[in-house]
Formats: sequence, structure tokens, C-alpha cells
Amino acid sequence: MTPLITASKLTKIYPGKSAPALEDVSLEVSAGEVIAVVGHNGAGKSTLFDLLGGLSRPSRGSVSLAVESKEIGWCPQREIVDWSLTVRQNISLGLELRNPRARRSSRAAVERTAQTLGLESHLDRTAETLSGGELRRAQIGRAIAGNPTLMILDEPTTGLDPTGIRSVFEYLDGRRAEGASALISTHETSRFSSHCTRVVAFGEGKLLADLPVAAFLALATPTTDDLWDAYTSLRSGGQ
Amino acid sequence: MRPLILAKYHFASLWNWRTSYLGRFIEPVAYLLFLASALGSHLQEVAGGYGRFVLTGLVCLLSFRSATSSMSDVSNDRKWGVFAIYCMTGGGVLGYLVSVVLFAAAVFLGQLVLLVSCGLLVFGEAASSIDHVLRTAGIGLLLVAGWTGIGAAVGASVQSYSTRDLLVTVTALPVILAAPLFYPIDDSSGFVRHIAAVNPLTYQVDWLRDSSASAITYSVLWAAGSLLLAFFMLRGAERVSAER
Repeated sequence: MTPLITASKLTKIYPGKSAPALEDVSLEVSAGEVIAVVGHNGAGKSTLFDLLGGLSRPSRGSVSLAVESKEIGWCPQREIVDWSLTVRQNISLGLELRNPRARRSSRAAVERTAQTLGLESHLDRTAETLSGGELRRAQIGRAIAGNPTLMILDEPTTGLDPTGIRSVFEYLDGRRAEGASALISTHETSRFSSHCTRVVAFGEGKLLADLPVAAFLALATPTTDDLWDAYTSLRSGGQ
Repeated sequence: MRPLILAKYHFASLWNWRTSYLGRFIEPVAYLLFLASALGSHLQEVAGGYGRFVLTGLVCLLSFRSATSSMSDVSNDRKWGVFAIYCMTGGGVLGYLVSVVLFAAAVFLGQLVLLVSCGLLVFGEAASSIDHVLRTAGIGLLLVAGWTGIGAAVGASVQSYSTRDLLVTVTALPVILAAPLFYPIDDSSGFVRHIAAVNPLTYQVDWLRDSSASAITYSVLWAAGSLLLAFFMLRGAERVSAER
């Protein structure tokens, strides 16, 4: 099966920095995979997401896509939102730009997405009036509206309450069952282990592990369902 | 199609924050009602009549103001990620630039209608004619495209709001006042004439008043050159500015 996205030997060096933010990382994402990306702050996760999403260009290496841009939903870690637009407009902006032909049906798609994320009552408020969690949901909404085939979500659950987190994870479960894929970093490492199929772990810009979730969790002793425990074991075992 | 979609959201932004954007419409009318009305009684001898002279000058001012507006809009788009989203979802720099120019042109036409209406009320029918308005609007649109390009080029390189505001503060008034927009400056004191000699508005207001074939050619070259600069600056810019 052709991977939806293939990263080959990705290296990113930021100007003025001696160490690469990401070094020689190769990765494939196939249909139906939900991949957890774990690592310390500064491990290279957001750099990877920015390169895969197309926000920045690699210093070396390449990213090739087997899906059209309209099939990719992207939610960055930092606040990317037009503060002068309403939630409805922010979500439909992303949806209509991804797929201009869908603009006639965008209103219904936006309302379905708002229902998924519990944003119905906030749709006509401008982004500047939202709380942190509502703003996060609006950004997730922009990424998932129209049900894209591949979702690249960088810490989507940060700032969400437990209900919001459950809504996101349940949405991902449903989409995975339909064959969609996602690449996600999250601090909800315990809960997310039962929602992902594969784990890629990073440290100091390098890919440390790329394993099915069960094999990754087995790295920890004693047995755990927390991806972070397994990551810590991986790090300590490698030192 | 994407440039039109993005332009639609530029208008949505204008509408949502209409109280903030109101200044773009109030400023030229305020210049007309207060500054121009006051100067008019002293400058009746201007060739063609002061009403027409100052209305054309104000159209030139509007075109220049599209630079500061587009600088603000583009730097916001880069800070808020709209430019990044546009480029990452299959749009290109050219399409983005088209959306910015479309928005600026539509705002300019709205300002022009308001300005001409107020001009007719203040100065009477001698201030303008349909032929004059159409010629002024045509060349004005080219000037707006050019100034929007300059604004977008600066917005593509500016990394912070404070830098942007400083640029606007430092450049706007000297450029506006050291050009024959509200009054002839041939008899002005030394340094104003020197500034006027290097001030693009000095020449552009002449193109608007002249409307000859050469004026149209210069206006087209101005628009094309500025938009080309904006294209290359945006193409080389980080899609999201460093400022949080």
C-alpha cells in the first residue's frame, strides 16, 4: 500500500543554531494509522509537524505526499488563528481553501465539526473572545472540518478539558475506522495509548523508536499503558 | 478561485472589526471637510478649480494609504497564520497577492464613492464630472495596486507590530504633506521642495490630474514593478512571522 506521506532523511537546521532541530528522520504514514509522536520539549516534534504540514522547508531531505492538499488537516502547536474572524469563519476558511469546490457545502460541514467538538454555541463569536480551550477546539475544527484523509495535529489536546479531550480521541477512533490517518503529539500519553496504533519517539532531533503501540509500551518495566513511561525507559536504556 | 475565497474572508474581517476599520473611510472625508474646506477659500486661483485639485489629491492620498493598510493586513496575516494556511492548502504567493489587491481595490472604490459624494456637497458640481471620476478611478486603481504591493512587500519583511507602527508613523505624514495633494508646493520653502522632489506622490498626483497616455503608462509600470517586488518578498518570507 502506498504511504500517504513519506519523509526521507529530513534534517532541519535553524539559522544561528549549531545542533539540528531534526536530523536524518525518515518516516512513512499509511492509511488507517494513528501515530503518537512522543518526546521531550525541544526533541523535534513540532519541527517534524511543520515540515510534514509544509509550513517550513527541510534543510535536507524531502517530504512526498500521495494525497492532495485538500486531504490534509493541519493543527499547529502555536496559535494560528485569524482573531478578527468568527469560529465559523475560521473553520470554513481552512475548509474552503483546502477544497474550493466544497464551499457550497461548507456551512453544513462546519456545523457537523462544531457538534463533534462542542463548539455549536461559539460559532458566531470572534476568535478574540474565546477562552484558551475554545480557541484550541476552533483550531482543531479547522483541521478536521470536511474529514480529511490525513490529520497532522501538534498537541491538539493542550488546554482542553477532559470532555474536549475525549471528543478529539473519539473522533480519531471513528476516522481511523474509516481508513483515515493521523500523526499526533499529545501530553495525554496515558489515555492516548489506547487510541493510537503506532508510536514514534524523538530525542534531541533524532528518531529513537518507531514501533507498534504494544511493542513500544513493552519497552517499560513494569508493564504500563502510559506512552511516557515507555519513552522514559527507552531514554534510560539508551544512555 | 482561492484568491476570491480569501478576499471574501478579508471582507468578513473588515465587517467584524468595522469599528476599527472605520478610520479608513473617515480619514479622507475628514481631510476634505476640514483641511480642504479651510484651504479652499485661499486657493481659488488654482488651475481647474480647487475642488477638482483637492479631490484628485485626496484620491492620491487614498492610494498611498492602501500601502499602510496592506502592510498592516499582510503582517497580521503572517502573524496569525492566514498566509501560511493559504500557502499550505494549495494556494500560491501570487494568488495571495491577488486577494490582497482585490480587497484593497474594493475598499478604494468604496472610499472613492464616499469622497466624490462629499466633494460634490462641499465644492459643488465643478469639483468633478463623470468623465473625471472614471479617469481618476482608473489611474487610482493602478496606483492602489502599486502601493498595495509596496505595503505587502514591507509586511512580508516586518517581524513585529512595533516596527510596523513605527514605519507608518515616520513615513505617513511627511509623504502626504510634502506633495501637492492639498496645495501647490512650487512656492514652498527649501526642504519641503527637496522632499517633494523625491516623493512619489508628487508625480503620482500629476498622473492623476494629467490622465494622458504617458500618465497611464507610468501608472501601469508603477503597479507592475511594485507587485513584482511584493511577489518576491512574499515568496522569500517565512510563512509565519516570528512574533507571537
